Amino acid sequence: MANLVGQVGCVTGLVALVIIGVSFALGRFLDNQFGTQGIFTVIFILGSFPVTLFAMVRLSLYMVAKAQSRVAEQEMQNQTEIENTGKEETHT
Amino acid sequence: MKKRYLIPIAVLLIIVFGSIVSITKPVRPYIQLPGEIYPGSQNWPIIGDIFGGLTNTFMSSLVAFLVVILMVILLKARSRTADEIPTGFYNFFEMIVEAAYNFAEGIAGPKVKNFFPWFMTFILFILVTNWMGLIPGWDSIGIWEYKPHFYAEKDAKALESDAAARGEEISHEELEAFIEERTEFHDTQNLGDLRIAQALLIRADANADPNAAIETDSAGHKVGFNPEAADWTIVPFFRPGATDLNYTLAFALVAMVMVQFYGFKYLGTRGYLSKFFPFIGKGWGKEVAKNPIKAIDPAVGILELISEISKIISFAFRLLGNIFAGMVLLFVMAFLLPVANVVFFGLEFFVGLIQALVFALLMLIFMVSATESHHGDEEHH
Repeated sequence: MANLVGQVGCVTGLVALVIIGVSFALGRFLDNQFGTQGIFTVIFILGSFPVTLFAMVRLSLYMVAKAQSRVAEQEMQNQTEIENTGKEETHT
Repeated sequence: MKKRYLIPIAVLLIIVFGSIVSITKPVRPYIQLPGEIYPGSQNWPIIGDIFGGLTNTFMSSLVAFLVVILMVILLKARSRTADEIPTGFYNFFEMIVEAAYNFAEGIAGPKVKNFFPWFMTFILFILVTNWMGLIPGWDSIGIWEYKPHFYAEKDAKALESDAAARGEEISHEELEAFIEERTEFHDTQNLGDLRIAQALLIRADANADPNAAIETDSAGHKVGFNPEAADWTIVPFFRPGATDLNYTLAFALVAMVMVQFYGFKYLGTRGYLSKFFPFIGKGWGKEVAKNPIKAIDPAVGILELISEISKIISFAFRLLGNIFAGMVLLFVMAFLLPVANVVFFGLEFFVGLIQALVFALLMLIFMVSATESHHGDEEHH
């Protein structure tokens, strides 16, 4: 659980860097290929923004959802453990 | 004015401010990881002597603290008249706090009463410091500083500490002469490579002289005391707190100290310490006799102890890395695509929110796991 939150914290930053970096590099490359004055760079960087934002929001929502479901799971586990130990004690 | 116009006006203002970058030619950013020290503050009586100067990240955090404290006082005052239906910002804030409380309760259970103040405080402080960095001018208006002089002072400090290590002392005059000499040296090296064309900036350095001649060095770069020459940089008045390791480390230390505190509080000294040193726990010998694999637990405990320390590091660097990278991204984009930079403000808005949430959420999870005993049912005793 803690690992997951930590990972999401790092991955959101990394995702932004990778998406923006790759789209910038791609835009520059296409501009060089077609000899245009930076129009591809502009389009790609502007295009990278919604993609990054989407990825970030999805990742953080996933984190929050996972946090809540893990808690529910854990509670279930704890309860069954308590029940089991109770049974063992009665057996002995 | 009707409230529904506020959002379009805000968007318009962002676009106008964003466009300013494309019209004017600001200073090329100089990226420096440690918080910049205000020029001259090294010589201030207490701050200079003890801390070596006042940094802009510290000032920024102070302002953020003031904003949060002010907000809390005002909202508290507003809550006293709460029998009416809440409206406006108070209503919005109440909604956020309630949602955060329910979320924290889902994770911490009944312990949420103790943990929630820490959770919410961390979110608020980190969020406000992160978002303040997005205010236009926050990280870009400041004091001009002559770069070679800055480097010369660094050299002088190294010389001083060298001499102190040898047990010698350098006189003030000698040091000033050394700084002058090193300034000249760094001047010819043309460090920084900064160009200032138009100044939107506040000039506060006594060395700046707009009438000074612009000289050219051997490499053909402009040098000298004229602000249009190369060797000038800007020390912003404020820089987002989380771009300084001191800020994030301070939060990380507070978080981890409180995690340990709650561990001791909920499990007792013996109970909590037996997580790391199982042999001091009750009946450990019997448990090992029953289940010999448990003999390895002390070694696992040492690893746990190391992981507690590594949590401080991961806390500090995650926040620092994300926010610092975000600010660098904004600077770089301002020069690549001036107007489109506005969209990256939107992105940083989310990064600031996610990082604040991640930091506080992790602290909450660590608090919860620190207060859970090994055996699950020990709390009932």
